[in-house]
Amino acid sequence: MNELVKHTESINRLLARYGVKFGIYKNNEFHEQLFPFDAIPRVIEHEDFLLLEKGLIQRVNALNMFLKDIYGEKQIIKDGVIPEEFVFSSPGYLPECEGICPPKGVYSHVSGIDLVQAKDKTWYILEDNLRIPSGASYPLIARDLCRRAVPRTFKNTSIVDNRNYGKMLGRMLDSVNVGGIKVIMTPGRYNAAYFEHSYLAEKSGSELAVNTDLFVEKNYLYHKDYLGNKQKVGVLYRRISDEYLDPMTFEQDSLIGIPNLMDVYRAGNVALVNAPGNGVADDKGIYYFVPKMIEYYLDEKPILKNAPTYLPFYEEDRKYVLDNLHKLVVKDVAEAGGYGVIFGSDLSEEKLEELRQLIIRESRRFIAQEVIDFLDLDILEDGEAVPRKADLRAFVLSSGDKTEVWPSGLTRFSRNPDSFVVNSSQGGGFKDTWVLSQ
Amino acid sequence: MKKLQFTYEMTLRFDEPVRDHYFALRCVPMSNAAQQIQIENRYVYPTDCLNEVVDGFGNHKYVGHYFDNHKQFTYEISGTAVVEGMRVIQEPLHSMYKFPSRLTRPGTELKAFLEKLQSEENFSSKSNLEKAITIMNAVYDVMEYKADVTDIHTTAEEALEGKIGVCQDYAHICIASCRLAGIPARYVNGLMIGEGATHAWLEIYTGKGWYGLDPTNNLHVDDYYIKLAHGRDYGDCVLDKGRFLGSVNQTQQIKVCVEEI
Repeated sequence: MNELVKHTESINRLLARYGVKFGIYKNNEFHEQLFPFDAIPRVIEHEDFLLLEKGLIQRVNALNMFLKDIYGEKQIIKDGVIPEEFVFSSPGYLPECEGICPPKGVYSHVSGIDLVQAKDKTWYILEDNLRIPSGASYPLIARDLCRRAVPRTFKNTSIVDNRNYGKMLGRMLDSVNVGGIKVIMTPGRYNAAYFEHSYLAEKSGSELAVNTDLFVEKNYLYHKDYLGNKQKVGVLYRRISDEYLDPMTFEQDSLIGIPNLMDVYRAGNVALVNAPGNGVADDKGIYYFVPKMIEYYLDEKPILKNAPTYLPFYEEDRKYVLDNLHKLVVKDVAEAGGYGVIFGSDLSEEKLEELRQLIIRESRRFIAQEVIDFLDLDILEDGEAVPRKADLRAFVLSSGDKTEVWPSGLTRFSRNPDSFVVNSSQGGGFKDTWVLSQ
Repeated sequence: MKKLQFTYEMTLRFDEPVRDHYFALRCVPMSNAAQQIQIENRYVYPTDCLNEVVDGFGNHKYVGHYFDNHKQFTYEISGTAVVEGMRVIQEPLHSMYKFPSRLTRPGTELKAFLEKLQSEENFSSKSNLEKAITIMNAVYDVMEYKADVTDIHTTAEEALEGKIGVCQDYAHICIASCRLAGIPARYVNGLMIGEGATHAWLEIYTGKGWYGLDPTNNLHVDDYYIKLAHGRDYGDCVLDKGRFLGSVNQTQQIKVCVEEI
């Protein structure tokens, strides 16, 4: 590992050359920034990974069943397990998807589940990302470069080879393909994750396309290449969000969507990965209910824990939140990417009171969580190892017949020693994640 | 019970040719407990293909496209409707109609408006329908009908603030108020006896089924109304949507005619 660390700079230089960047819009300006790589890997023991794997598969299976239920029978609501306002007033719930059963019944094909490990080594789920979670390509290319820099390290240590992600993704796409080519659709090169889109297309054997390469004809979706040859698309891994997907169904002003795509999808003539409407299951308010979903749909005890969470919507929880606000972290359910996260400990008494009043007024809008005592990971700063907060995004792929966990993941860390927020859009860095094979 | 003859015509004219034109037409009336629809004529020109599909709300729509250059697009549908209004339509209640939607999210104005009604004597002891009628009367009283002040993006809250609007705004304010009062409500697009444009009203859930109220005219939806589509608000059931390539000026002409036969 020491040898690997010596290559930090050269690996970062190569990452920059390959265009491993993260673009962000701020104040209407586009900035591209590097996603700094730290060479000290996160190491997950074999036994530990087996547990994670089991727990993640369980969780994602339950989430998929929930989505199928919500856009179908709604049994979990009828049985009173989840209050209906958490579902039908969620901005992620799309009535336009009512009654659609996607190919093979899969809604969340690529799930990005964020976890943290506490000091006592317990893993906690922080949030589920079931829309279009990004990030797999970063550890993927970093691993490739690390192996080239120090091949011996990877020969002498029993690390599970994670370079199969592209194959896993390709297989999953094939499994839901209704007949035709597979396409990864990107909003274009100014998107934050454009590097990832192009890299995954190459690794999974898919066409990379923008909306102008794709069109609907007679209720089927087609791809037209630069020679004008057209081919039917059987599965579209679209990396644009639901609201821009089809201007005839969602945001009418969207210029990056495909008109009438939703009708093709409703007719079962194309698979959309991930299914539109998944936002109803990864909302921060619904998060609270995921352990209940696991018990309800699978009749199993949840293997992985949620961070201890309170829902001010329930009177008992509200009382606890109002009394203990100074030590809790409060999250706005409508925000993503580390925005809308407030630590009670950072607030003055006056601001705390303001927040209390806001929670009383809009109790459905927030969740509150205990601050988890993170197990810090070492990162290298000016040649010295310093501890920083880090999380892990695990990637879970669901085909029609099986759910599997990629034996790796994206470990993101905060470069700021005082910050808990690790999101790449807020300037964090990343590490490779090693899963030991024995 | 009345027998009505209806025609809906929409013509788009472009001053220069357009191409790659996609459309979704949601103006297809369907039969339900209150209306028996017989479609006699349907004309969409030009098209490469035309599919009839049902959307997530249960509305029928025609979708299709025309790729070649064209300077005009016409859609026409006509038929007869046997209508027996002022009755409860027994369709299941979907919970999405209980909660605020984009155009019906209540603000201080709507909340104050409803609170005032709720403070009136015996409001709380009324049935869903009686409450909704009280709301409709109040909206009719407070609003002034005037075109071209509000537009399709105006929310219920904004319309109530300005106290001016058209049928869409009247319906949105009623829907927002009903939902605030715990009464499920949905937005309805449709046709009304006479000639002119399309109309909008609302349906409330009585506990047994859906019942139509027309706040713009302060009337129960009777034998002179033909329903086309419904949704949480206007945004869910836009009657004609289109998307084409071409930098042109376009004019849209809509002709609606409903008469008793």
